[in-house]
Amino acid sequence: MLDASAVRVRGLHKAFGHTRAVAGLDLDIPRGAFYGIAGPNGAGKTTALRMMIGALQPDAGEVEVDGVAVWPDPREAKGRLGFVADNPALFDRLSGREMLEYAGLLRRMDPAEITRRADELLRILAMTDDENRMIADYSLGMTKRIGLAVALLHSPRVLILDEPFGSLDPVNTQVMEEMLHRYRAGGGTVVFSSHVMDVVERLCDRVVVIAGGAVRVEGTVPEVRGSAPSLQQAFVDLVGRRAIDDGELSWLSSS
Amino acid sequence: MAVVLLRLRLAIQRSGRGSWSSTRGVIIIGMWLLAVGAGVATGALVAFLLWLDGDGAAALAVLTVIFLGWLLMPLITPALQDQTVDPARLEMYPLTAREKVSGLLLGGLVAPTATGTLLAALGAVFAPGIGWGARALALVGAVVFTVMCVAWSRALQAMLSRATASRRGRDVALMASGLLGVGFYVGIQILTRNPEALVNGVSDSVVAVLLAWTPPGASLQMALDLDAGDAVVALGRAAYALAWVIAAIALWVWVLARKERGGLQSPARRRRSPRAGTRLALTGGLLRLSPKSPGGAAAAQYARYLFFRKPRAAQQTLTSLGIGGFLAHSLGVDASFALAGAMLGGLVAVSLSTGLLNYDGAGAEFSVISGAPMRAVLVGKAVVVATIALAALVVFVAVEAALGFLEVDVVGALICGAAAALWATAVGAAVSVIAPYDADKKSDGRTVAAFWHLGAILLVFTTIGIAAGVIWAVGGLGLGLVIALGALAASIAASWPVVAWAARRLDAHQLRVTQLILAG
Repeated sequence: MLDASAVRVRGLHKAFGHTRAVAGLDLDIPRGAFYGIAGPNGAGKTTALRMMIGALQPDAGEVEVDGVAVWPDPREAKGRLGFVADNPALFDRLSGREMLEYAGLLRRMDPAEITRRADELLRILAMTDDENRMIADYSLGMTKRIGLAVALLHSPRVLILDEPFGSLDPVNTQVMEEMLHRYRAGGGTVVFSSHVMDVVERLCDRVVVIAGGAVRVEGTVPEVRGSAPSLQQAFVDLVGRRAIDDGELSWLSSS
Repeated sequence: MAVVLLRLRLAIQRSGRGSWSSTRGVIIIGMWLLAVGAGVATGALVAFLLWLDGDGAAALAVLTVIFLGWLLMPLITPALQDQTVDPARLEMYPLTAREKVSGLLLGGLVAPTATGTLLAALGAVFAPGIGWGARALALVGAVVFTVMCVAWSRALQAMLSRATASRRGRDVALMASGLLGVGFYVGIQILTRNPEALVNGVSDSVVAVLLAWTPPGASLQMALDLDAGDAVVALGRAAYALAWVIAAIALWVWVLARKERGGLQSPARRRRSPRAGTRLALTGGLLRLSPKSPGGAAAAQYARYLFFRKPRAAQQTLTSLGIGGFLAHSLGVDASFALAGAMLGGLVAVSLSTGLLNYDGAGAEFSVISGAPMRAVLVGKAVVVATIALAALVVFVAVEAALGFLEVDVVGALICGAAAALWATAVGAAVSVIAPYDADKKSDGRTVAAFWHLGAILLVFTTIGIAAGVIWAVGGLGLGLVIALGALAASIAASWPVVAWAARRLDAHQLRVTQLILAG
């Protein structure tokens, strides 16, 4: 029977020395969802994502992507997902087009299909003029766009993104959002982490807030927002406010 | 303000030195000792050359080489800076260009490199057979020479800082340093074989006159002029040397002032025309024959990095081919040509294959995240190295044959070279997986890897030595070709399991290998 979850996480643990980055994380991300993972800095979002994509072995727990166990052998699961990091890890001395072709050949795609999809992705992402430039010469926004193209090239079932909208200008943010919506309309599942709550509120059906490596709250956006005026406010109420006293930094206005 | 910057420079040195027991402290103290030792030794050489050669041409040549070193080294190897305060860090402070230059110049003079330079130039003061007046002027000349070196070096650095800070500038510098290294090695080899050529060349009267009117030459020649009783010419030459120092400082001030006004912006970047056609760009050109598979993709990526996308990889390629070719040529002339072929194939292959993963950088993580078949990736890269080594072998044999060094065993050289190249590639591939690191980062991983690389080289050359011994021992039987073919078969039989083991290990430990690379 096909599992209803695109991503299923059970009892995920990871510690680095004495620091517990992820402590018993449980998640069920439905197929076709636009799913946001929110949390303060150091909450364990990126660590959790890296364990989901098979780039970091958990100390304990299970992860399934599209019904396939990621651990102990993540190779099959990796074929079903695409990943875009905050600062995408790519071969920076290849050009954007070469990188796409490299990714396609590594995934044993047909060269003609690689060319067709690469042409389309480069055009939609407005990268055609820069496709022959080395990635080392790209801005972070351009690198992120190529990273997205590389992640989408093999049409994965689940797309996982870590802070996808940082360093993108408004136009490219809109293009990326449209691409993600189209991807989801085609049956894909989008999972992304962010601490920009406006973006999470605007795009996601469901959201989980992680703090201290564990789930603090999970549900639809209205459920998580509750009675707060915005998701941002609900988030701050949940993870704790850090206030500046009236007397502090008074010297800033003294000059 | 100059004093403030000088104190900042000294503070950087003090904090960099740390405690005497710390590694960094030992390194910095070692640098000072090395600079002083090298300066004293060069100074003694200058004094000796002045005593040996009355017109001082050889001593002038020594100072000119030091001056050229000051000009070129910071541009070619920007990493080897001597802790001088970076002018870019002073941009936020309300300092004029003159204030910056005076402080930076003073700071630059309090450095191991400047101290070594001064000690080298002071050699003229202690040269035997020179009058006291000339000695006093030589002292002034040594100071002028040192300031000249620092001022011109820093002025050029400031002028070309944008170029050297850019990605392309760094790439060019790295590749140039590789070529310089090969040139230096070959030059030393040639000179040690024929030292008379250098002495005769420098002592030629035209060269001596030219050297005396170079800026560094003038700073020494003025003392020699005075010693020869020509005070007017000596004064003229002193003014000439001083003018070069002033020109350097003026250039430096102008460059910094212009930078403050934003006058050194790079021109708008040109766009490259978009690619036409539907062939894969990754496997275009000479790589068209590579299979459209994961292994083929990895081979194409690695080949592009070696020729010449990744400067450190390109530097390694150039160095390996240059030194391998020279070493093999020397051996081919002096000993067995089959052994020369084996040395070339072995050296080129082992030096390129021990770093199959070291140039990937963040791409190493991409390979893992994408679920790439890592066995195919490693084999693809190893095939590139073996192909380069075999191509170098063929070119080497063809060139040597064309130069007329051979009536000898061309076929034997090719077969023995191929055998060595395959074995060296396999050994290097194993080391690549056991001790990977990021070639662009400084880390402890490099130290560990250096031992493995050394072990790989020893293993390859020991194997070549044993094989050569066996071939030599049975040479009298007239079975040279048969034995060479046997060596090739043995190499293939031994190499494949090693490569397969390395590929399996990479596949099984890909996360750990990637972590080692990303950690540096």
